[in-house]
Amino acid sequence: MRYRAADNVAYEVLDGEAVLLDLDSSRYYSLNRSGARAWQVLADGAGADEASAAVVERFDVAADVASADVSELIDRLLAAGLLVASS
Amino acid sequence: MTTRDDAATYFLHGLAVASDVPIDAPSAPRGRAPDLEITLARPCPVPDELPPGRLVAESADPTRRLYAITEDGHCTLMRFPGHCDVAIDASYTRMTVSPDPSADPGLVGLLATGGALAAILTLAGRCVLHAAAVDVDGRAIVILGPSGSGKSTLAAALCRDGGRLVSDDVLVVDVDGGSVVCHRGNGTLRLRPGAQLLADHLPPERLTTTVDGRLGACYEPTDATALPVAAVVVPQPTSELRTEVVRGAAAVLALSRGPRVGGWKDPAILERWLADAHAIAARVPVLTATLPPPADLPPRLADRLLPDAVALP
Repeated sequence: MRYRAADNVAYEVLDGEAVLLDLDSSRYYSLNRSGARAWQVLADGAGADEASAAVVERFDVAADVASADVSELIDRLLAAGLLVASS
Repeated sequence: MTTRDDAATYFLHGLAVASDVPIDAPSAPRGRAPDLEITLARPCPVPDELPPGRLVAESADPTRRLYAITEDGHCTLMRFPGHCDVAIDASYTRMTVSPDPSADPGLVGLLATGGALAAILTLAGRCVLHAAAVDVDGRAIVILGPSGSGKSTLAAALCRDGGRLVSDDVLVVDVDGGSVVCHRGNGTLRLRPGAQLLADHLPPERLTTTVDGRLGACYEPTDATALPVAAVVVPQPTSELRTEVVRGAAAVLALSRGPRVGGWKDPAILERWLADAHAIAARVPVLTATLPPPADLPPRLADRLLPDAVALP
């Protein structure tokens, strides 16, 4: 499964952290550095495995922990309508 | 743009504004063609209903609608129920203000030159903050936040210490390469009763009562029409003075709450505002400042605000 940013989302990254804006609801969301790294990869069309690998590459975190965290993040982003499945 | 002979032309926010409505700002240089025109039209009832067209922005408190902005493809209308309708032309260079017959003319002027002027500049693509700013040694300390958060109080304390007023309530900023520049706006701080002691040293001729019942304090204005921003301070009233530099997402989020006109529904404007907040936070330190009551604000406040703000992440 691959993902992409929903059409109604704008985002900016500063100091590695991300702020996401739902343009339909005017609601803001923030992501810490590892979450922002995963978001950037997912928003560009990657899947969970690539996002986890990107987090492991950038941060001192075990692969299984990163995988679980990215999986939970994807669920939350999908539920919030910020991320959509692209395939 | 040509203008009528009877309209005074003011200079604020980096623009020459020809206006039937008096504006608390210096005159534009002689011969300067106006960038923006504010015309006062005949009174006309202004109901609470939404104007026709696509809803662009809306703000309400629990009891009433404060304003709404709609557009129908030809014209944008900003409605302040019970006060005035402001028609904005498609080029965002003309505002026509139609007051309600029962409206207070002074309050209509405040809405036209405050919220409505901020709206037309936002629609025209400018970044318009809900902020006061004070010139401290040639750089501006910007104080950002919603009504009642302590913007004017902190600005008054900085002016008491020798700072010069840049603007109150409406602040236009430009991101210019690696820096952020703000423009001189109106020339009077509107102080709530608790903060009036910060204006005790001003002579009577520099004090007025504003149409919304506050004390208008005319501090010395800055000489500069534009100046670089040294820091953005987000005040939070409490019992003691404490400052904290916020970074990353927290800085962007702090700024995201700062547009002078809120409640935008238009995705393009929302997206642009996020980009502006990011651009400012990437270039200028952003601080939160918890503030004691006005009587307990210490002297030399700028020294307390700026040392923490010199280093960008």
